[in-house]
Amino acid sequence: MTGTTVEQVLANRRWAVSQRPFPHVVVDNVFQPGFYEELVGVVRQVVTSDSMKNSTEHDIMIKPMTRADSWPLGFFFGQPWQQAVNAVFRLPATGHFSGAIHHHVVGSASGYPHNDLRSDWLTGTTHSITPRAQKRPHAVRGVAVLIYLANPPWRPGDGGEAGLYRSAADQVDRAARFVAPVNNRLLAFPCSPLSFHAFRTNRRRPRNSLVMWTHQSTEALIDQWRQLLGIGVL
Amino acid sequence: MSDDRRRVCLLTGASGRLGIAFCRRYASQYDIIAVTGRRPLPVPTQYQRWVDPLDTEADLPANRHPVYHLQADLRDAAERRRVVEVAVARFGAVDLLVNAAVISPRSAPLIATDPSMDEVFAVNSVVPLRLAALLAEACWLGATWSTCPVCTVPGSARWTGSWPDTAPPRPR
Repeated sequence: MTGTTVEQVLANRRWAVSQRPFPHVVVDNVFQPGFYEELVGVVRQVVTSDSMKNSTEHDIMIKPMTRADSWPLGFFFGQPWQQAVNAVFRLPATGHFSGAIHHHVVGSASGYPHNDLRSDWLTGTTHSITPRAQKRPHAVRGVAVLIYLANPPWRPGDGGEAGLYRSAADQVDRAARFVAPVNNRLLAFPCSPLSFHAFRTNRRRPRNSLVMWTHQSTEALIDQWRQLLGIGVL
Repeated sequence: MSDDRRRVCLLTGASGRLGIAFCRRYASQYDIIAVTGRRPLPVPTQYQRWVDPLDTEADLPANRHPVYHLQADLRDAAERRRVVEVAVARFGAVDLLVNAAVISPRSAPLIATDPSMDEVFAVNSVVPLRLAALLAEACWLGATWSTCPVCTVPGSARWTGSWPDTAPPRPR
């Protein structure tokens, strides 16, 4: 499948860009069935193996994606995919990329509203943006992408949604919008000081997803937000 | 009010099946104020537009007739007044009220004993009446109408998926 284009794997090219509570897209039936099934096969294999590790920050099991991953996960490391995702939000992509397979066992604890605004492309670990310029990373997360897959059919009350919030102080159950983990659904948003989101506990069914972050220039992000937030010095 | 002004429709329950279908069918003919609760509204709005990720500058036909989206809990009197005030401030007047926000009981409710009937009655009957009264105060008192400017969908009715080809006649 080497050389497969973004156009060939996308089944849905009508992406609804919503501005509230912060810019985001939710796309159903995003991938062609063949590509989706290939992703499902890989995710199921990983989830049933012993290669996943517990996150130190969230109640979640993680298997990082790496550049050594072959098709189909390797597709997401390609510039065309990252450029397409960033273009929806008019962000230039830097080429830095990170991603992982996430598995929430039934009853995983709810998270807390956070904005994902970090850098993790260099060492595989995460770094908060520091106000000290000399410690500032070159690039930070640009667009966060969640792709739900290999899950049982979702029904209201199952939980496991991604909540989108107006504030970090919002309660997890009081999201401005909940995005349910429906198979072959993509949720994406540019990471910003206001992109508050959280996992809501999955009461009845496990939740599997691919999570990935394209990156953007730290300086561009700061320039964009300094004036908007009324911050004089970052 | 000139005759060539686009007519303005206040639609409740816009994120339900009927409301979504109404938006898609009539957004090219009406300025629609689409009122929803917390559910997303899968039509173009002032906050939402469609983008082709492989051609983000493309002028997609799906974006040509956005509705004006308001989130509100219409059981709340202050929220109803806010909706009417915003609608009149934004469009000058409202010509038609379509109440598509309904609660449909799963089984026939027992009017005498079922406590959920209070909620059904409030949403299906009281809210449309209150909204119509507010709109009458704001826009309709003194006007002469050829047809009733209020349409309310009863909870027992089921939309069959077909619409008339023409919009209702305008008030005179």
